[in-house]
Amino acid sequence: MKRRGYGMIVLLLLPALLIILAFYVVPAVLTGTMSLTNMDHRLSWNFVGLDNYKAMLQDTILSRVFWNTLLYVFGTLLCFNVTFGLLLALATSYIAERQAERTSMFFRALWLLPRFTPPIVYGVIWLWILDPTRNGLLNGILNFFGGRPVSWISEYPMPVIILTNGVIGASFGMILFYSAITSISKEYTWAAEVDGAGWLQRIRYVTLPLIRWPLMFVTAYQTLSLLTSYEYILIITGGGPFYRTTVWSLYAYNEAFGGYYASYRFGYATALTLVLVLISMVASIIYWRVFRFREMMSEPKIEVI
Amino acid sequence: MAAVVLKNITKAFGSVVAVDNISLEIPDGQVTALLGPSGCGKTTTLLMLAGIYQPTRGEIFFDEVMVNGIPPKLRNVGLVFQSYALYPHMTVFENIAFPLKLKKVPKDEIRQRVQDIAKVVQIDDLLQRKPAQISGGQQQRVALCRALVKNPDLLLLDEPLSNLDARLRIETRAEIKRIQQELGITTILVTHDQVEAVTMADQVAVMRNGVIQQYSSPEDLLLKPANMFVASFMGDPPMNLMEAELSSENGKSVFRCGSELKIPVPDAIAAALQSRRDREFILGVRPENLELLDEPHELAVPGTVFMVELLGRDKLVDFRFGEVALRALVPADVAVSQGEKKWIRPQAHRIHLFGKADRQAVPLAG
Ligand SMILES: Nc1ncnc2c1ncn2[C@@H]1O[C@H](COP(=O)(O)OP(=O)(O)OP(=O)(O)O)[C@@H](O)[C@H]1O
Ligand SMILES: [Mg+2]
Repeated sequence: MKRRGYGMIVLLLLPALLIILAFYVVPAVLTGTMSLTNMDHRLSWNFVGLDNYKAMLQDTILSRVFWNTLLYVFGTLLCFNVTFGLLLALATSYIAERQAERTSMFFRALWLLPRFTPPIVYGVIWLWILDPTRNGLLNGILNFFGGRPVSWISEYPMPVIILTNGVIGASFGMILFYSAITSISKEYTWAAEVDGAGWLQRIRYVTLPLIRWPLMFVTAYQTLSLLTSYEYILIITGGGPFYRTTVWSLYAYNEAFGGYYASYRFGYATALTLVLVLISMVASIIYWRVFRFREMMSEPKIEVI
Repeated sequence: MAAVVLKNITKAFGSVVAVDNISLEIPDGQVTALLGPSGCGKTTTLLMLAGIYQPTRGEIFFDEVMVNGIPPKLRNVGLVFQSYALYPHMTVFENIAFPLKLKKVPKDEIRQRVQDIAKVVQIDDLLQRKPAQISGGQQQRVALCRALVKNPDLLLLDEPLSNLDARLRIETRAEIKRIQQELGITTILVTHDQVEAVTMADQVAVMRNGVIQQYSSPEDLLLKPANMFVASFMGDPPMNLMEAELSSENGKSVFRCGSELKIPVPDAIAAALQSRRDREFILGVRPENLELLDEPHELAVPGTVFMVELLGRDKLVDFRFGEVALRALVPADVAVSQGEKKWIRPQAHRIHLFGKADRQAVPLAG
């Protein structure tokens, strides 16, 4: 009886184990091994020990990349993915509360559009908006009011990539926060009104504390996904001008596949990505500790008595 | 403190009319109960008084000032929700202090007032706990404190006792009543429990489908129900209600109830009915107003005991007359057993009649 139960467990777990093995463990081991070689476009496994990691310490560009990454991740997070997402959720839930659910839904759908747009199309749209000539949308408008055209991308590269990523990223927080806010029992809202709270006080003292788990979850989750995302940066600024918007993951990508810098340095690139994994892990552990996620796992995620 | 007047208040949610043209005058400093079955519009009425809902039509006055359109925070009402709605992230202290904090009352005064009110309902040793760490009865008292701490002009209680066990309910009932009398605060109590309404309120408004059925003292609800709904809703065990046709037999008038039961009509009632055209009524008499006699009596009907049910201090004695049942309530020590023959006499001045068509009470002098 007992042995049959055990066999059953193995049988049920097997598919998942195989998938993890094939698509996670094997690539991870391969990456780890590759980071100990100086593999280049010839794809030969030439072991060089820890040379790649030592090279990282001497890489003068890397420290710059590191600060870029921090600025990009936390800038996007603070300005858009959490704060702007929250503002959108508050605004649309306020609209829905006033019996205008369709309007609220329309605005949320609008903010979801960028997410449904293929990255390359989205990138091209921004390239058009930010084009340095008068054909660009922004410069066209500036021109209309008599202003001189601005080369947005080369003059403000970091704000540009934060903005372009944030416009997409905000919708994730918006959806989560919106559903968390609307699932707060109406009676808390009413109680706060009767207790004398205005709209802002209600949000500060009642709404925000009640959605603290979704807030912390989105912060942690989006940190990790921003750390590894580079596709919009690649399309819009390519990491430039001169590394000013090169973040860690893009740096690794360019080392491996980038056409115009020294490239096809697969050994070095994999070493870079492994360090990025390490950074992500440290970030997760810090969040786990600071936000006390263990409590979140053992409690309902939204507090509604 | 405030006297409250509702004038032709209607509240519709789309096509659902939750409250239908009600008018009420709620006296200053007393307890008024809104009583009715689930879904009759009690909570909706309360939320309109709090300012959370705006009436679709009609006007609400606090002390002769119209308050339509005035937001909840400016109405100075205390509201205890059915679910209590204590903020789960705040301690008991912070919950009670919240209305004062929003009013920017100085910290020392807040501490003092919270402690004072917490002492009154005996939760002063729980102030540092979170709502999830105290019992339902304690939560209810915290909610009451939060409503009372700002000295409201009007206290609104939405089924405040429904989550409590029987004993705690009796205690809390008395406690609320005591606090209310101590502070002399105008209180509106929403409940679907008639015992709660009758024991706590100075006057009771019985509601059904958004309409007020009767607004009177608790005694009058039991003794002079305005219509058949109030008669059947109030009282436990429920009133015996049956169709009755006024006819005469051997020169005496009787109510024919079904094919087998004939109840002699007392003279006073016969006189009162003389001027009426209709002959068909609904007759109602409460189980406690049926006397069981061993001997025949001119106003009594003979019957055989069908079943006896012991209800604590009383016995419910069940008689059947064909399809009509009559239940009498007698003290538990009265000896009566199944199959026994008894004479049942309704107390003459406790017989209620309702029009068969309109179900409204037929006035019977006396
Ligand atoms: N927001 C709303 N939208 C639509 N219909 C509503 C709304 N609120 C209440 N109703 C309807 O109005 C009627 C009265 O509701 P209300 O909550 O006032 O009942 P109640 O007397 O408090 O009942 P209970 O004893 O069950 O709490 C019900 O039929 C209910 O379905
Ligand atoms: Mg209700």
